[in-house]
Amino acid sequence: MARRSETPPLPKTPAIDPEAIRELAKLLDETGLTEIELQRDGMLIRVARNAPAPATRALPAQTGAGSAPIATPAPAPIEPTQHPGLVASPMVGVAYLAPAPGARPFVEVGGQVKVGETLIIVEAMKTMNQIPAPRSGTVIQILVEDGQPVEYGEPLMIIE
Amino acid sequence: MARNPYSEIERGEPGAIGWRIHYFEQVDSTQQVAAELAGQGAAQGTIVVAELQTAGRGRLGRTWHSPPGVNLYATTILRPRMPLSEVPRLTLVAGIAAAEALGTVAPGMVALKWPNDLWLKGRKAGGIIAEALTDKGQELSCVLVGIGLNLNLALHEIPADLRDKATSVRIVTGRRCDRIAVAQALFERLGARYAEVQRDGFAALSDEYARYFALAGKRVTIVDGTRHVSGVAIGIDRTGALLLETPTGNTRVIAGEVSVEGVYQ
Repeated sequence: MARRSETPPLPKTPAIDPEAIRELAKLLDETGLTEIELQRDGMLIRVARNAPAPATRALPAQTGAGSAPIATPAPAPIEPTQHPGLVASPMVGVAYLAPAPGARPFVEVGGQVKVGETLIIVEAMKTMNQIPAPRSGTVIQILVEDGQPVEYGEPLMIIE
Repeated sequence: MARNPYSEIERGEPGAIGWRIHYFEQVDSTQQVAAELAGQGAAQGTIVVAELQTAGRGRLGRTWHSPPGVNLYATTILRPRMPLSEVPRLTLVAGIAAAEALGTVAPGMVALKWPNDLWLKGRKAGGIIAEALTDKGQELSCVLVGIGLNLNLALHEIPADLRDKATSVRIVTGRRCDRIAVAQALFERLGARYAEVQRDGFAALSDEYARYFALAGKRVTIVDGTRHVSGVAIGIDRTGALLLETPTGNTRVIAGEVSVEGVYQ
């Protein structure tokens, strides 16, 4: 596009490289690894597998019984996707652990929650989706960071 | 309770947008009142309007308390039958409706900054936020669409440090507008566009959105959670995502705060 030439590229443009991520995700599938990190041109791409669907898969891809079996080389103390108390993201967006920047998080590890209580917000296009606790219990793991982009079906939290 | 000046524009049966308009002089936020009403089973199309919000919701950025009686703050309860993953598109649909309503009093001046900030002459004159409420099984129960429009706000009522960023219909046109008439246009357009998106899908509305799209060809940076993406805005795709041309190829953005190079935010 002509416009691009009008604006000289910045040396450290922190743009994502979808191709590179796609390649890495493919490699992850082929090798059965759980995580690959690539540092290139001053940027770091990390592709990790902690959900049935790779983090880079296109939007409507559903997780579930039909997806390919995943090798788990190192037995983790808790496999989030297998846990009955798993809370997964119902949509693509950005996860927020607090109602406003700098505010106290909705929940913390070790904290008690009641069914229906807001655990986390997933935002897309200024739509805030408050994820309610599917059951009462204790928060034993929070699997995302504040401000982290999340995919459909990505594990967010475990309540036990 | 205060007389409800919006009762005269209530239209239609329960379920129609604007069939019932609740009016308050002061609330914490219209979103909160609407959430309570929705929890009590309020039908789709129920609207909450307030003159003053003391805790208006808006995740990021600075808010201030505008004087009562000059702007329009309204939250509409929707109960759409659509997958949760498609709900974010409703805020773009609301953006089109709000742009159309503003166009009735500020013709030719309205633009949308993705996803749904309303601009008049390059300054912010309104914003939209939605909350999707789900039950514990993550089934969608309702969507609360909050729309705020700066209508008769005067320049001196905007804090000095925000005067190059915020504006109103009155500031750009030099005259006051009829707030009830703008509200009526807004709810009518929202009803029409909402019916369209449910019938034909968002793709059918993307041309309408493009008419107001303020970012085409502009260099923008998006802070998407912890990630920054910079590029030249191309448009939106059929799902409403923002398309950017970046040095490493095109990318789509579905969340985040957009800042535009060379334009005040």
